[in-house]
Amino acid sequence: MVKIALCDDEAKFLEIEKELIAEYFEDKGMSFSVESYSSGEELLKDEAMLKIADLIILDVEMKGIDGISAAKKIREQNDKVNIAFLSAHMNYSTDGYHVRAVRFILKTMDDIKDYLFECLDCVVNNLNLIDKEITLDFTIGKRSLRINDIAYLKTVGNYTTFVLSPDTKESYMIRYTLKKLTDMLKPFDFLAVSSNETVNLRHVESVSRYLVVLDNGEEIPVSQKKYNDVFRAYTLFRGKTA
Amino acid sequence: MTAHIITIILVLTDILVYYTFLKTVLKRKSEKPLDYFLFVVLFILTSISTLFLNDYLPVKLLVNFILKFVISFIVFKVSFKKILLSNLAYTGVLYSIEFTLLLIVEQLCNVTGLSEIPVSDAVISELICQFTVLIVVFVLNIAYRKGVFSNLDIKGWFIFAFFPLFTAIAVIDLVVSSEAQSVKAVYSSLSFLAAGMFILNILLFILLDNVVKRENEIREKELLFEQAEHLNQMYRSLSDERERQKARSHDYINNLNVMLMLAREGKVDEEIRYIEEQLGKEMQSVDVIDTGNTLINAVLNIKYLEAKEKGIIIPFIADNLTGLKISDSDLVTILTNILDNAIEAVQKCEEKRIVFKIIKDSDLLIIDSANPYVGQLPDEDSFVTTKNDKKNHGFGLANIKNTVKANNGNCFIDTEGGIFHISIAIPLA
Repeated sequence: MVKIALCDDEAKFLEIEKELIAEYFEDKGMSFSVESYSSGEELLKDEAMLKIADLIILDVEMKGIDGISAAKKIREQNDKVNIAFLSAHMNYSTDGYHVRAVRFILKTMDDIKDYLFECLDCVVNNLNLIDKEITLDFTIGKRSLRINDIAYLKTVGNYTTFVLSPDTKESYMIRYTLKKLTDMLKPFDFLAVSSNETVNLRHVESVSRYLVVLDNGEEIPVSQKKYNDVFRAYTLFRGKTA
Repeated sequence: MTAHIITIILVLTDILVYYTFLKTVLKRKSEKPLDYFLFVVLFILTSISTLFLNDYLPVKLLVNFILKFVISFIVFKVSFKKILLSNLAYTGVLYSIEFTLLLIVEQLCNVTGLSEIPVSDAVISELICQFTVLIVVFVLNIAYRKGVFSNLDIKGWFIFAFFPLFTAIAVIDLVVSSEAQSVKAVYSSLSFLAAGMFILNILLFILLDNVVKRENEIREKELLFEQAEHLNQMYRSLSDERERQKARSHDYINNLNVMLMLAREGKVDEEIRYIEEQLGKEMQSVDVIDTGNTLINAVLNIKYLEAKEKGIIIPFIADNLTGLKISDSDLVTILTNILDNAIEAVQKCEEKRIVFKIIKDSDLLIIDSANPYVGQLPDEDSFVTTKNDKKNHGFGLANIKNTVKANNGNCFIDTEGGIFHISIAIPLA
């Protein structure tokens, strides 16, 4: 279920947004929930919502605390939630601190539906990718893993080890070849960096000549042959998720 | 006496053909009276040398060559190398034709049983030679007009001149060896011919390479031209905007006057209504996108409107883009090319969306664009256009890649899954 929070000081627009969101999810046959707030302060008080929301849509021009400042405060509490700004003008020039908004939705009557739907498409897509789980027969038994928790895969003899981030005490090993697993996980942005290791691009901090550094601090060597492909895939991935 | 007159006439025709040849090869279009005078001098001197040195064939040939060389050098005023090469080319062409004709005549004699060539036939054969050279010159002229040779530089010409020269030498050699009637001579001629052909092939490759290099230079210039065109377009839009701005200032003063009048007359309600009306109008005309960078704003806003007219939405994700080190023209090139191509591609799709990002991420400027596409994409490297106007389109991708490279950035494209995704990362410092 997709949980959405709306924040706008104009009741008229809150109504329009709620209707459009309902239209979108009913069309797709997906379950959703919407909470409306008529000021930034009201939203910030609801800490429970801030923790569980999948998407928060903030009107930029509000009386009291404006959308951008509200977003900064939200980020202090929740680094991961998708934030979208709603405004008649996409003003990027004032932001000193990068809030990492996923979209800017145009608030004009003839644009709002298209831009809102596109934003929802993007968020639903992201959620699918992040929440997706994979169930495999490991040596310790059948287990379900969140794909996003996998940092990288490593061959150890005939087995492949799953290295998770954050690390768990359990060791996930499976008697599949690295190639088979890489092919399975390719749609989730996994990439082979050498003949022995495949990384999850979401966990990559940086790529340099012949080394990949992950967000857990580990360094994985990149084979010379694969370097160009790795750099290319990393650049494309970085652009896609920026 | 008749023989002398005939000789002089032959010299005259030779000089005329020679002059036509030079004019074509050295691309001389206009003629000055001085040129005619000098060629008359050449004619006189050559006649004298031909008449008096007739018994000393090698000397006569050398003297005539030098005379031609000197006069052509004075008349055409091009470099020493060019004069030398064109004269050699003429000599080569002339002698190859003469000796080929000689061979043919000899074969005819052998076949028909005639043992000698009468004098009158010698004159005719000389005239036929010159006529053939004239035809060659005529063909060259046409080739020139069609621009066949325009891609050759001096090095290319040098190689090209080798062809007729070699033909001349080879034919002479063949004639001589067939006269000598010894198998050994024939064999050595044939080996010489074979070796020469081999070298000709190599030279042909070099020549083609030469031509290709020139083509590349031309293409690069066309790329630059397109870049300049884009920049001009941008500047034109900006100056249009200036004009509109001036008109708006004018309107603003008028509005203030109206409001002042209403206020003075105490017509408060009317005044409020009037102001609300004006505000409504103003809000619509303010730019939709603002990154703090005037030029980027100009490009993005213009493209946003263009796309909107075609029913395309562009969710822009941007940052504060002030103080970028990249030059204006480079930014314009990259942004307009990406957006133009995306808008064009997306029109044929059901989902008319272009997700466009231009943001700062640590030490990089990231420009990323993704849009759906249908049908075949042109080859990534050449991006040759399917559009009819081949001359003006299709350089987009090449332009983007070159500009990114020039800024020490990286540019990658992925076309899987029916989405055209281009990602550019340029260092900010």
